[in-house]
Amino acid sequence: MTVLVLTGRLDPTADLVVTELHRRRVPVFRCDPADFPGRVDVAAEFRGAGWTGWLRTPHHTVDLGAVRSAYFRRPGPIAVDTGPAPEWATAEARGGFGGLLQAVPYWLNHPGRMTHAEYKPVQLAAAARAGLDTPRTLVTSDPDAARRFVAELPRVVYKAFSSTVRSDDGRRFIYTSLVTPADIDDGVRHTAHLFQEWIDKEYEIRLTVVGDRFFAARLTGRSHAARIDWRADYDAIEYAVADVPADVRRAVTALLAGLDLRFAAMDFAVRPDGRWVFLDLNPNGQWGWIEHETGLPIKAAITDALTTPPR
Amino acid sequence: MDSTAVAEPEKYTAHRDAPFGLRFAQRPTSSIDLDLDLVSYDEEAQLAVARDGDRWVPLIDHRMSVTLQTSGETPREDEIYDKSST
Repeated sequence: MTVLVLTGRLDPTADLVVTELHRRRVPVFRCDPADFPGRVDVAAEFRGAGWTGWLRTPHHTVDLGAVRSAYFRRPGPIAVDTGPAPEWATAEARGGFGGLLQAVPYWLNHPGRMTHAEYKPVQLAAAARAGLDTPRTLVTSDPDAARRFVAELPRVVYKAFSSTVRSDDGRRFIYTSLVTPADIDDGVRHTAHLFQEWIDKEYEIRLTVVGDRFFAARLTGRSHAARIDWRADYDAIEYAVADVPADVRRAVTALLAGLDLRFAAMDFAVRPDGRWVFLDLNPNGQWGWIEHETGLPIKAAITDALTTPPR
Repeated sequence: MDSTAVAEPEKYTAHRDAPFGLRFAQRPTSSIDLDLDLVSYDEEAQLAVARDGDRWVPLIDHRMSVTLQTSGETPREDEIYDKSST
């Protein structure tokens, strides 16, 4: 069997898995669908019993019938930007090449399921249904609604749906930030905004789940910025391995089954009384740095999942 | 290294139609500007490599992998600040 890895060339997290697959002598075919056509090409035929054919780059060719699993990391979008009708050519590429990729039997994770699960309103509702504690949350483009919500609760944070913004001189990041009623202004009208109850916490948990294997890392912020949003100050984070309470494990299992995810990176705030509160789920989140900081064997678990998919 | 992000609220809020959330846009001081001449892709091994003196080593074994600013198409904050290896 061959493992298909879909990602860009500069993805050190995917490199970790490819290296582990090499070590286990498992054939790998890595490509970026954004390179189709030209640097990635395909020919596949259907004769009533599945697709047969090949997928190739200038240096590698894989028999489609040998591909049993696919790791969807951070590929670029399929797009054709040449010729007289690039939009039509792109649609054809997505329908044909993208359609053949979709026919791979096992995914970690299936891109369609990830797209669905990335929506914060979807994941919050699913988490609550699964039995997890969740914070009160408002999504709005109305400044008055925002002001009322912020005034009703002791402390509230603003969270962006997308944490990066492109600029003419580089990218900026939008971290979770505390807000007061006086902060709210008409700028809320210009797009959707998410305001959320601030959870008083002792520390946060980054829970990485691969299949039925749970890897919990305790992240304790040692600066003001890291306590609000640990992504704002990585150097001020203390890491430790944590245990997952049985009720949280059951609820997360139900949540991921409901979202049809085989991998997730999830964030929890842990209250002073020990209760875990679900904050966020990333169906394609980073995990390499957690393994580096804690020694949790996430790479091995991902490689196991890709090499022993259920039949 | 001080990795605390640097706030730049004025960058966007001067615009009349700036969404509220943009006032929190920040530039992280710990990310690195990636010199693309220092990284490459080994087509045979299907792995990224980085220049280390006069030789190329797997990117995951390079110090740059600790704090890597990627050139991905749709980067997220956690993708840019990659601490997958040292």
